[in-house]
Amino acid sequence: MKISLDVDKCCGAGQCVLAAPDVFDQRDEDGIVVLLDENPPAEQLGQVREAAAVCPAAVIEVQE
Amino acid sequence: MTSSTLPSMPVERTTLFDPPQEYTALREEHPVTKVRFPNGSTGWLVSRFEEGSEVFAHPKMSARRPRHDTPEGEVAEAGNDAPFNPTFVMMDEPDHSQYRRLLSGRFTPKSIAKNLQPYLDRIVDEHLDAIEKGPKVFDFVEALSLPIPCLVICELLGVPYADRDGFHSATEQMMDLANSREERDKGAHWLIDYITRLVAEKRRTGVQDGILAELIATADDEGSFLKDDEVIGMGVLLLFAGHDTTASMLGLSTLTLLTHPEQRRDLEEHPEKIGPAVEELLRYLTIVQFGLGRVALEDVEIGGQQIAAGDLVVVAMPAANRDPRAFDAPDAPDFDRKMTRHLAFGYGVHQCLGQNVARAELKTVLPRLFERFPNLHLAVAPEEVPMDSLGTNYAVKKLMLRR
Repeated sequence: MKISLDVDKCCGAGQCVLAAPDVFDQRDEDGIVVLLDENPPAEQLGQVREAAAVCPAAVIEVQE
Repeated sequence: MTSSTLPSMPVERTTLFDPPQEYTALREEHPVTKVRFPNGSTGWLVSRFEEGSEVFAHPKMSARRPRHDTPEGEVAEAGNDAPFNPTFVMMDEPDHSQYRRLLSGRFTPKSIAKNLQPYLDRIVDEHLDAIEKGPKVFDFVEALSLPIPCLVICELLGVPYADRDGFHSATEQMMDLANSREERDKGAHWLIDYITRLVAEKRRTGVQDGILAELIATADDEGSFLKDDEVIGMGVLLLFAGHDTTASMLGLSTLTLLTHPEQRRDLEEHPEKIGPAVEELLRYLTIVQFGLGRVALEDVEIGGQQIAAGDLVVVAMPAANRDPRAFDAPDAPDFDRKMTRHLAFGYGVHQCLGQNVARAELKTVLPRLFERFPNLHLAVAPEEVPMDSLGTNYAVKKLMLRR
């Protein structure tokens, strides 16, 4: 799995962190998404997909 | 077609928790359709989930929109609806992000867990203690669902809680769509004057006690893009939006649990379901009852309809969140529902800034309320609960309970 982020579009809603806390975090100062793990293990796929689907700004792209 | 021959946007509810029943047919037969809005302006009404999400996420749908939900005849231009500067709420990219990012760091789940949750735990317990010591029959709005969100927004912004009666009644005056523009503007001006004085005082004392002080510091940086009327506008916006919405959700969620014994038992027996339960209550209740508007910046197609540049498009989130294409058996609350997302907080880059604060308040209050008062029930019949059907947010006006 490969994750890419379009950080400019991030609105800091924090939905990705709630869906996949081991893969996504947010910067303290402005809430912008931070990728903790670019190539997370396969068992995280469900959570990462959910994070991509729930993101209001369509920031997260997942390639399997 | 002239505006008088267009169908009207449905606004009247016939049941306690469901959106107006005309939406059921509208969603099936005319999911994107031209209507006449309550104030007499015309535009498109979107009642399905996918199409509604598409409108909110569309880069050519501008957030700079005129009001559609004001009383008959009160049509104003986009950006000229409120006496305060609404900043990022009415901005498009890239300006929107520049302003929103001044605030978003304070509203992340991590920041809330660290900075707000201990305070929230304490005030909720204190208010439950006070209910336990008080009369058997009490008004939940006065005892808990209004004070908790007021305390929370005061803590976040750095606003004295002693001023709550003033800012809450000004908010009500501004948000009640039965009031004329003149009356609503009086409420808005009260809030503007209040925040203006508070900003001046914080500048004078240099106190560092929350978001308002941080915005002042940003505005006072040399060469800052942030202007004083924008600091005041953001302060006004956070103060009213931060308490009125969550107060409404706390009251309505409690009424929902008290009238749905199966769901109440489910939550009492499985407190670990509080996360999904809160999402489901948000979806089921969708308090922004008249939806949210956008304006097409160029010709776009939504749900097979050609929408022309300049057209107003309103997403009826209460209807979209009951779309059977997106949710099985949408008209019943189900805490086991498998749901990725809903539209209660909107969607797209403008999705509610305070959503994680609202979640924290709901997740803290609801389980503790029913744990502390296992015999809690309505002191009046459900149909006798006075509802606010004309406010921007659907709400209970008063909720008499027996503990």
